Amino acid sequence: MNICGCLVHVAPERSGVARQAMDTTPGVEVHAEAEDGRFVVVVEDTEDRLASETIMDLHHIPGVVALALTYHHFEDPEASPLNSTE
Amino acid sequence: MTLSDSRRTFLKATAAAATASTAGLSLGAGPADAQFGVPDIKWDKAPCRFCGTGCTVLVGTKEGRVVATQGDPQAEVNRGLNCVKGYFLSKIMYGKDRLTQPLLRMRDGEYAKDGDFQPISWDQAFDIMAEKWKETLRTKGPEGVGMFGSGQWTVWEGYAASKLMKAGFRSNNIDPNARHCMASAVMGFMRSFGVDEPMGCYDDLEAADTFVLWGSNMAEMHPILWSRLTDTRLTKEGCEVHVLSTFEHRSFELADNGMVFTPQTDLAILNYIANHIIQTGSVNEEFLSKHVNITKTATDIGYGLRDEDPLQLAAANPNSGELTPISFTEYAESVKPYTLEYTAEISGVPADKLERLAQQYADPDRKVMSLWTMGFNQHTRGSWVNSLMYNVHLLTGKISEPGNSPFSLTGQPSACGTAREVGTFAHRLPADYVVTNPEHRAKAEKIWKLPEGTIPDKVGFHAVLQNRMLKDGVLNAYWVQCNNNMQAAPNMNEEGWPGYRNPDNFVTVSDPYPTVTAMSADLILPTAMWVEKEGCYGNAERRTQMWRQQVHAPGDAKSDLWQLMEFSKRFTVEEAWGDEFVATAPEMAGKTLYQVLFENGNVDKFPLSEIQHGHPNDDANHFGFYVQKGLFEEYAAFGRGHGHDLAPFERYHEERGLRWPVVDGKETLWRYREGHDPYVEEGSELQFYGFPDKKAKIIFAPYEAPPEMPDDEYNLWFCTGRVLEHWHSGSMTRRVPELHRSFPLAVVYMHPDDAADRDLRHGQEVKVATRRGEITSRISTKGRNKMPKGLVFMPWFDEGQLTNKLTLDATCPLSKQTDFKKCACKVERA
Repeated sequence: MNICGCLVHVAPERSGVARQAMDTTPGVEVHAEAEDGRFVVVVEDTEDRLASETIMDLHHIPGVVALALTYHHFEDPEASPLNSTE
Repeated sequence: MTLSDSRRTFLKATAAAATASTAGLSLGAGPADAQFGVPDIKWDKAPCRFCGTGCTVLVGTKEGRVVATQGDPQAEVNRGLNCVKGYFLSKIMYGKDRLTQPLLRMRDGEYAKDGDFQPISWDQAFDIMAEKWKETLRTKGPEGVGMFGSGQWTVWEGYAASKLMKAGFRSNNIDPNARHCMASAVMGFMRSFGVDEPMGCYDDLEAADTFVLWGSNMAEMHPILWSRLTDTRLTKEGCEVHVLSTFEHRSFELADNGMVFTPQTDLAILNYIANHIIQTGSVNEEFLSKHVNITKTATDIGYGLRDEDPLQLAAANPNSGELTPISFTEYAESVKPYTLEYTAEISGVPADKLERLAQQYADPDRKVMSLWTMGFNQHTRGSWVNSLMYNVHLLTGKISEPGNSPFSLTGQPSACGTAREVGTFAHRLPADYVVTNPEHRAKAEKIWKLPEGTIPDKVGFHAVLQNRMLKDGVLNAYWVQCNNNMQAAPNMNEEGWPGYRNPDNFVTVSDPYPTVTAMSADLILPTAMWVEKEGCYGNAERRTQMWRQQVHAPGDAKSDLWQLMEFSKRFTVEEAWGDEFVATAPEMAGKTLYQVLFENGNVDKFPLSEIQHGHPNDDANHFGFYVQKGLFEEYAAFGRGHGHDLAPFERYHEERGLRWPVVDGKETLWRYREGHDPYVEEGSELQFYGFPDKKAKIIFAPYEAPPEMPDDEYNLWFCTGRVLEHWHSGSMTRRVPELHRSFPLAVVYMHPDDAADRDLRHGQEVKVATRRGEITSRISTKGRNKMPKGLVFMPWFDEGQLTNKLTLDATCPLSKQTDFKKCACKVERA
C-alpha cells in the first residue's frame, strides 16, 4: 500500500487541460491548485496500477514540467502485488 | 492486508498537508504538521542515498524497520521535496536478495578461482583475503595491491580506505568510481582555478536570469534542482532556459531555446561564444586584467587508450596538459575561426539559436548559470570543455556572485565530499593535496603520526588503468567497495571481465547485493548501507551533511568502515611495509596496521559516551570509541586554515549541512568574492586564491575530433546514460519492485527514419554491435527521448543488457575519465 503527496509544476497556460487529465486519472486526487501552475496531488495504489506507475504517467501529461514527491507512506511490503526483483 | 477507510483518508490528508505546507499553499482544514501526523513512527533526518543533489529526507522507522519517508521542510536544498527515486529510498535496504554473510568461491572445501560461491565466516573471509594480499606484497610489492572505491562511501569510509592504502599498504593504487563521473570536472577546476569544486551554490537557481544546460538532463537526473529551476523560470519575468544536448530529452519541455548538436562540437560552440563576446565588445576588460591569466593548452594529446594503440602512437603530444601563456590578442585570434557560420555548420545547430545563446552570455545585464554533468565530463576532451566553459564566464566576469555561476553538477551523493575532498583518487590526498608534492606528503604523514616517506610519491593506477593492470596480471590483490564497476566501467569484454577472472588475481567485492561485479569476484563481503550506519556525505554545492544510524544491518552485514578497519588488524607493519622501511622507524616495529593507523591517539580520541543517546552506533560500539568522530576530526585537520575548513563534528548532526569553507561557524556561499568568502583579503573585491598570484586561467583549446566516429559499417553514434526511475547501475533501484516495474528493461532509443531504414519497428528486438561486442535489446522510437537521425541512446541500468560490453575505453587524456557518450555502433534485427 502506497500513499504519496506530490507537488506538480504545470506550465500556467496549460494548467486547465493538465488538471482535467489529472482529475480523470484513477488513483489521483488534486487537493489544491495555485495560480502559478503548482498543484498539490495525492496518489495512491489502485487495483491495476501502483502509485509509482501513476506518478510516472503524471510526468507525461502535456504541460507537466516537473513533479516532486513530498511524502510517502507505505505499509506491509509483503502484501504488495510485486515483492520480488523478477 | 487492507487499510481501514478512515486510516487511508487520514494518511491521504497527511500526504496532502505535507505537500501543501512545503509549497506554501493552503488546504483549508487538515492536519497542521505532517511530520507528527502518524504517532507510532520515529522520524530522523538523513541525506538521500542517491545523486549528488544532497536532498535531506526525514526517515520514519517503526519496530526497527524504515516504513516512511518525507521531504524535509527544513532542508535548504530540497525544501520538503523529493524526487521519485527519493520516494523509494526507504525500500532499497529491503531487496529480497540482500547479502547477509561472506561468500567465497570454493571447491572441495578450499578456495578455488573457478569454484562456486559458498557461505563462510568473517574470520575465514579475512584469512583467505589476508593470505592473498600478503603473498602479493611479498612477491610484487605495494604496486600489486589495489582498491576501487566510491563517491558513495561515507566521508570516513573513504578517508579510512585512502589511509589504509596510501599509508597502510604504501600503495597509491586506489581510485573511486567518481573517476567515471566527474574527474574531468576536477581537472577543469584545478587547471582554471587551482582549487576543486564550484564557487557558487544552489542559491544561484533563484538568482539567475538565464539557465543553460550543457550535456545535462536535469529534469530526469537532478529532478529537485530542476523543480527549483522550473519555479524560477515560471515566476521570474524574462527568465530563459537554454538546453544543449546530442538528443532531445525531457528537459527540452521547459526550454526556450533547445539545441541538438553533433557529438563533440560543444568544443566549437563554446569557442564561438567566446568569439561572439570578443567581436561584440562584450569583454569585461577590467575584470579580465585584474583577475585572469590567459593560456593555451597542448593539442593533439591522444585519447587515453593503451600506449600501444595506433591512435596513441599517432598523437603528437600524448597525455600532455602543458599550458603556455598567450596574450589577449593571440587568444582572440585563436577563437576567431569559430564564426557563427562555421559553428552552425559543424554543430548542426541553426545559427539563430546559437546567436541567441551567445547573447545570453554577452549581455552584461543578464545573470547566467551554466549547468553540466556527464555530457561534459564523459568526454575525450572533458578537461578542455570544462575550461572552455569557464573561459566564457571569465571573459564577462560572470562568476562568483549570486546568479552568475558556472556550476558542475555531480552524480553521486558524496562524489564531492568523499572522492574529491577526502582525496580517494590515485593522485590525491585530503583537501586538494597531491601525492606528487613532497610538502603535501609530509603534511599528511605529520597529521597521521607516521614516519617520513610512508606515502609513496608515484601516482597510482586510475580506474580504467586498474582494469588494464588486472588483465595484464600486474595488479593481483584487489578490493572493490560500494560500487558496481564490472557493469559501470567501459569495454567490459576486452578489459574488465578478463581482468577479474585472470587466475593470477584475487578479487574481493563488498556490496549489499549480488551485483554483476560481486558475481565476478572471488570473495563477496556483505555490506551495511545508508542508515544502517552513521554517515557523512558532501554534495555538489560543498555542503557537508551527516546522519545517525537508525536501524541495524541484516545478518552479518557490516559497514565498509568496519571491514576496512578489521582487515587492517591482519597485518603487521613488517608484513605491509617490509623490514627495510620499518628499520627507519623502529618505534613502529611489531605493531599492526590497525594500531598505527587507527589507535594513533587521533582516531580513538573520543569515548563512546559522546555518542548521541537513543541512537545505535554498531561501528563505534565494536571498536570501543567514537570512531566516526575520530576519523572526521583527524581528516578535518587537513583542510582547516587551508580553504577547506569544516565545522566541529557535532554541528553537522544539528544542521541540514554546511557549505565549506566554514570559518568562525559561518558557511561560505560564493567563494573568491569579498563579502562572501572569508579567505578573500579586504579591499581586493575578488581573489582566485587557488593560484599564488590569485588569478584564474582562461585556457584555450580547439575542436578536435573524437577517437571513433560512425562509418559505413558502424554507422550510428552510440550514447549511454540514465533514466529517471533508475540510479546508475540499478543495483538498488531495480530491487525496489515499483521502480523495477515502471522501467524494467533497457531499450535503444532511435529516430523513426533510422528504424525504417533498417526495416525495424518500435518494440522490435535488435542486436546492437560495436567493434568490441554485441548485446540484444529492443527499439524505442517513441517516448521521452527523441533521437536525431544517426544517434541512438541506451540507458545502462539493466544488468541483463550490459551496455559497457559495447563502449570504448577511451578517456580524457588529462582526467582519465571515460567517454561513455560517443562511440560507433550498428543496429540490426535480432
